[in-house]
Amino acid sequence: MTVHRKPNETETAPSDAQAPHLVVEKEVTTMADGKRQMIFYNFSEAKTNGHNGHGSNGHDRHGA
Amino acid sequence: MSELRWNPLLGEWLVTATERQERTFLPPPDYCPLCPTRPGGYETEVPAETYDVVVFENKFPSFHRHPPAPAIEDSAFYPVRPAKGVCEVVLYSPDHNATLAGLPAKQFLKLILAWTDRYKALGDLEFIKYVFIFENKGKEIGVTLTHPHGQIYAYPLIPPVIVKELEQSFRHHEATGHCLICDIKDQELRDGRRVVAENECFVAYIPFFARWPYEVHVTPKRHIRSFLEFEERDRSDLALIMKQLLVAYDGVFNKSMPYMMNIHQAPTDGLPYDHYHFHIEFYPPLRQAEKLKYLAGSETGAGFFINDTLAEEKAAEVRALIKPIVW
Repeated sequence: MTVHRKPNETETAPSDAQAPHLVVEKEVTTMADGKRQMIFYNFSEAKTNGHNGHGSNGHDRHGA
Repeated sequence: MSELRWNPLLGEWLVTATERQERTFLPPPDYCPLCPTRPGGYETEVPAETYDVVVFENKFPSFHRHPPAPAIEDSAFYPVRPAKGVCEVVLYSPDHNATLAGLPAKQFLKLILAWTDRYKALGDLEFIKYVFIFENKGKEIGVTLTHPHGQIYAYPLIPPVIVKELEQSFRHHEATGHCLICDIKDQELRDGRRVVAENECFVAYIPFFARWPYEVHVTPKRHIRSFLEFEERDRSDLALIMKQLLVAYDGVFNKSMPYMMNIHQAPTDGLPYDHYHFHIEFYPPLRQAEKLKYLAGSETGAGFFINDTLAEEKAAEVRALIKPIVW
């Protein structure tokens, strides 16, 4: 059995150029039974300056 | 009733959860409790017509924020503890017929952000020692609701499989000074035969030691212990590689692949766990299109897995189905 991987065979296209920068809006509510917690996460896309790789401050969750 | 009981034979806890016997079992699509409540329709768990991701506490939890008193007395030989913890449901989409594989890569990114938030919030609770994010997908796994969703169990202790991984990682670190999962990932990348997909931040492979025919581990190339150490590029690359993998899975048998998805991260008990490494383990139970890999006597009774396949051959099969993903 010889199943060698070709170099770069599984590489994806560079992903950083189009990766969306998401900003979350979080809504915490109580469910109809009055006991359980429910959290809605809704996201919008923020404009970026084109840099989103390593070296960012790592605190880019915008409240998520 | 719900309580933790100590198993002295294996040295681990189990939880009883008798009320789960009453949980909804495969309701017809028109009565799915996880679908949004429709105008004039019956009231479901979700009082909103649409959302990106929604998380709520499980109606039939195994662990409770305010647990009932144990049904049986505690003793030195058979310790018993209240089942204190949190069980949450994570809805991936308001669309009942969606699957995670079929959702756009951006939805994976949203899910990763929601998972990160829940890992932090639940891990910050004083009584939570481990936050386990997982998905059981498919009737073959035993799901009771087919609406696309995952779950989070926030445990009051570190579960046995993670304890074992932590012990092995600690021993390896003591012996070599290296992270065990970094070394496994590096070995798989050097060898290449079992690699399924790769991008700048992540690699997906069927490990040398796979127990399931299509078991895939998705591991960050950087030494990251949990979602809390992700940077934006890590999140986007994880979203892409997860989407690639799940789409490829559906191509293996030309049907929606059932699987268990298990996110392994550092415990949240306040210790550093520098020797541990975030990764996601996928266990599809199928070995052929219509044949399940059963956990029978050897696997369940002796803990000795028998894999009917070679990881190198199965990795080539999945790898051939990997396609580029665009945002």
